[in-house]
Amino acid sequence: MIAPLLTLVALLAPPGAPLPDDSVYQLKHNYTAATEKPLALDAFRGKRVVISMFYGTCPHVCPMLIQDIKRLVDAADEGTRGELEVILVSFDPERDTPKGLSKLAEKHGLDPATYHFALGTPDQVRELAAVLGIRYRRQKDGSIGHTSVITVLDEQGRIVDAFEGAGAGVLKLLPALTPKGGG
Amino acid sequence: MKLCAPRPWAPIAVLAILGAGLCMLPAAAARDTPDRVRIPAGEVRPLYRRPPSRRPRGEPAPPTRVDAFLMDRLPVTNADFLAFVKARPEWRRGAAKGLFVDPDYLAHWAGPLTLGDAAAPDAPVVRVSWFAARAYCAARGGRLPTEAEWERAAAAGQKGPDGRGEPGWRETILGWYAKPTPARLPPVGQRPANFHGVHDLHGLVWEWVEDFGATLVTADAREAGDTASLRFCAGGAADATDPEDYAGFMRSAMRSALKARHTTASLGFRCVADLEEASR
Repeated sequence: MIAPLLTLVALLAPPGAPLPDDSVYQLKHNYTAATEKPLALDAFRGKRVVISMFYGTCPHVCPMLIQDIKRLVDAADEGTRGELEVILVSFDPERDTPKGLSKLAEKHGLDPATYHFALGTPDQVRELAAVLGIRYRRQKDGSIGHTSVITVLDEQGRIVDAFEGAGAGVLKLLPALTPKGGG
Repeated sequence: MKLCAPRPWAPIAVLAILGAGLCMLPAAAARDTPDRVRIPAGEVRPLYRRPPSRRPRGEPAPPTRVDAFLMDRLPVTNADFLAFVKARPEWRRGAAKGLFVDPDYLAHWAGPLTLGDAAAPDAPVVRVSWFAARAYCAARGGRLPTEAEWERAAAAGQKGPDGRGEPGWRETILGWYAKPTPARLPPVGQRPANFHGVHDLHGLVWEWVEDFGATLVTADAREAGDTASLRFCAGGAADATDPEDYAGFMRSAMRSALKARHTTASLGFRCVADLEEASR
């Protein structure tokens, strides 16, 4: 009896209501988007968000990661897709630039209305990676070793589900993209 | 060994500075203080050889260079941490957000602002998350050590920066790892300082490092899978640069199992600070 009621309350909670304790948005990060405009981590509060981390000069893993996110988003039904936002935060704020990220988005054919590339500070990068459970380390050759984790956040920024790895397994996140599933 | 210098964060001093707030504490100092000691620049040998999928195959990975830095002589104590949460209500037990701490955060304290019987003021604080430890160090004008910095400082014995050749060094560390954590931790600073003047890197509690999550990450996420299994399943020590460094492997495995909000009864921390460029 109570669970559905709580779900309803959560859905109806206005964006001004206090954030849940375990919301990723507790980080209160403000990034710079590829458009060079500021982008708050909680800018899409009220919507389902797919979030992950990557870096621009990454040779193999990041293109695969971006393709996997695209695969997931493209597999969602039109109504869900229209409400979905994707945030991709760079591991490498020292070398990635807004311009470089715009080019990357273009190269992958990503709609800037849905896909938001973002640059934070090194401290923010570490904190976000920590809450998303992404492990990374800069290597001596300048590349960044990292795990691939794609996370779905609910309307209040809580983690609904996550996928670690690469490939079609990412589609297990499909139910989490709609408020009635996963959350 | 007793500490000769008073610690600014000892309970009495803390009462005096509370009104003034934490900002009174100096930002990263350039040289030794009673609290912090300079660890000279050096190298840390990586735990593992290059994974077979990387060329040149199986060769030892190059050592990691560590710049000189300042490290706390002692782990952060319950009294230190109590002063911090008094000044920073958002880090009190019950107030700290669930994203940043797990439900056992400071659970052994009698209350949010009371240490109680299970947490002696001069014992190391434990049951603190990575986020809480970082916030504490930032408030003190410092930061958590990187894994390489911590390992560099902890590699020292009594006589030199590399304790491996000293009789009993390895055995002492492993002997502690083999013992369960006592319900009531003893005070910090009871054991002799190491070559650098740092106490309790071994023998009291495990300690958070800034990049705890990176410990197993090598070059590329594609390899994370096979190297991790190589290391912990079949291959084990075959990949190691020093198969006798059991303690190093234990620390690495422990760190890799942690999440940033985790707290445990045997995990504390200490802070470090950067040296000014000229004094490196």
